[in-house]
Amino acid sequence: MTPKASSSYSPTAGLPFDDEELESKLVWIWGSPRSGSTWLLELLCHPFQMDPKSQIGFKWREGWGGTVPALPVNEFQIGAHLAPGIYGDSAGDATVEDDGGTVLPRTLNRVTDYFASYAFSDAYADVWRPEARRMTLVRLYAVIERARDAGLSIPPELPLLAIKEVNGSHAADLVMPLFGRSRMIFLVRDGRDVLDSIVDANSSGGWLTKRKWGPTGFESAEERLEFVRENARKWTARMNACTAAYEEHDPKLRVKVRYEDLLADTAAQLGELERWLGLPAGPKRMESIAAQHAFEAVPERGRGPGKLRRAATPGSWRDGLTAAEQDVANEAMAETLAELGYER
Amino acid sequence: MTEPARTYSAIAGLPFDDEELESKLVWIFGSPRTGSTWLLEMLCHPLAPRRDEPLGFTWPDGWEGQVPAVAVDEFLISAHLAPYQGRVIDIFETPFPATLNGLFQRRSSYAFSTEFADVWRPEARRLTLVRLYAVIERARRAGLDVTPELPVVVIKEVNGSHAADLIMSLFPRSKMIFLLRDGRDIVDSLLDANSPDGWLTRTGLGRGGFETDAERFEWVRDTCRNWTARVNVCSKAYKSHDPELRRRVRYEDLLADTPAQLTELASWIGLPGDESRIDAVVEAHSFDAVPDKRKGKGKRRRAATPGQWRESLTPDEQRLAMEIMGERLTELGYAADSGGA
Repeated sequence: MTPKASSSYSPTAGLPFDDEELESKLVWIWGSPRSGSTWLLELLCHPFQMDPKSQIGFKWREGWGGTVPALPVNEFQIGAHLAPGIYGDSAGDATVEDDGGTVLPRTLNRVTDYFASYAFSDAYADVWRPEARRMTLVRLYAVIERARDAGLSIPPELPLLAIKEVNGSHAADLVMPLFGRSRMIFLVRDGRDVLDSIVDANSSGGWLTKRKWGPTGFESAEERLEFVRENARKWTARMNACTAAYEEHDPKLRVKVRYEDLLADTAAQLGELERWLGLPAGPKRMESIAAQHAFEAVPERGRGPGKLRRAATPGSWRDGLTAAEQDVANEAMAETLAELGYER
Repeated sequence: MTEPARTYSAIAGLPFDDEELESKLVWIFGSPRTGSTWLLEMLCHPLAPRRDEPLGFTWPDGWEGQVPAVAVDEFLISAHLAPYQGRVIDIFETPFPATLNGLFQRRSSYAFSTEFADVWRPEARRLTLVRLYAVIERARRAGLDVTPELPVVVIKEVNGSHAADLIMSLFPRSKMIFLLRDGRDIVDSLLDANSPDGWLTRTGLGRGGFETDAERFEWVRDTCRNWTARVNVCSKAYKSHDPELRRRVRYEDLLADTPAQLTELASWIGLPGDESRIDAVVEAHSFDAVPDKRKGKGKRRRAATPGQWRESLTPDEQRLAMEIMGERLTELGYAADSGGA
């Protein structure tokens, strides 16, 4: 041991916050993209609006001086780092079946964890897990510090941090066990509507196509059908990873939210969530927040087909997907849909 | 629960000197199929990398010598710190690997954003050091004679070369070996590995061959672009690294005069480099020493013969390879011809 070294190892030494307290303030939103997760994040963290290019990732009305209820962390993507894809797959893009036939995301960890020399191997899990937890907590604590520096009124005890991590859902079963004291919101939506929305976003003129992130349109019906097949399987894998995480998490610290229920009675559902989180949940406040973030409140030019905010209409898949696509979707998703309470 | 510290420190609670450990790291970057496992084995002899053994390596029964360097094969920390997105993007007409960091770095709320780089970088460094220190600790516990001061740790990270620039910037006191090989031979080697009987196909990670010539041609194009992108990142990392702490090694030179090359590397790293030891290490790890049944076509150890691409790539594939890789190949000192094309 060298003079600079500590007499004993501690993964929580040198932290300017209580790691367990911060962990208990984390609220993870898992599930699937295109399930209303940004909407839910904004509802929970009202009056903050997401602003990816601002210094802390969100903004607020000039002159607003209220106390912060919860800070938003939109697209944190720690899941993509803790469980990346393997040899060229994007995280969550490929799937694999476990010994029991359950479809799961094919991550580097899942395929390589038996290699002892691999950084995140099973053999060294007791080494990397506390440090991965620490790195995540330090990064999240910095959001609170910078929000304070930006002049926001944050209570002396740590505020809640709502983390939208639906695009890292393939890693929910790895991330949640690292944060056993945190809360988990498992946001579910009929997978066929998720597919319908993804097809729209990736079609010619769709918002993902415009960002050049998707296949930039479909040249034939076969190509589109293949896309539906792949994405149906990806959705199933993600949901299975989230279900595994949910089942292992403390029942008092987890809640399953259906997008369709949130849409049907936003104020009531939000009130329930806010009470569970210990946030102000008066009926007037809930009604007001629900109204401000309602689909109808989005200017017309900012919603509709091809846009990020499209329809907010459950069941659109019946018209949006062809009969062949519906068959393919049902084949891949049926079991998981039934488990989540969706009818065929 | 521990009481919060008055001030933040990314190196508190470490049972080792972080700067000392960092200075003991030797990273091997470059490209897969460049002889990187061979080099790792020679540098860490007599430790033999075995990924599925509890420590990640084994040693001869009854061996009681002092460990010269600890081997870490396929660490793959790069895949975590900069997840590769499976495609190459052109930045000012130069191919680079697309990473999640590159796509999201401007979004503040992204865990590894530029805005919060001063926060995540020291913690990513810490995580990596703690994980590597554990290898040393476990080697000691397993009864190996590891020097009281920290030993050298050699990390084969060629499959994480897409992130060499990020990794090396986190560890400026460490050493970097940029292992090079003619990119056309790499394409040739990967073609063999991806054939129906190739070793990559047998592990479930390969393509299992090609149904049409056009499919193979497209695959060659992608593979050439991948190689170029990887070399570009490694070159960037290499240029930014302390000249005293970096070495560029050509596979072809290593193969042509292994004792001389290994002696030079051992001396630079601070490993025992007396002639008799080097000769013994070279002999133990030579291609000729590999049993016949474990080498040859479709196997991990195939031919150890530079220039095979001239025979196995079609004239069109050779022209395509030159079109994509030509500039880099020339820069790196490889013949800018297109073989028999």
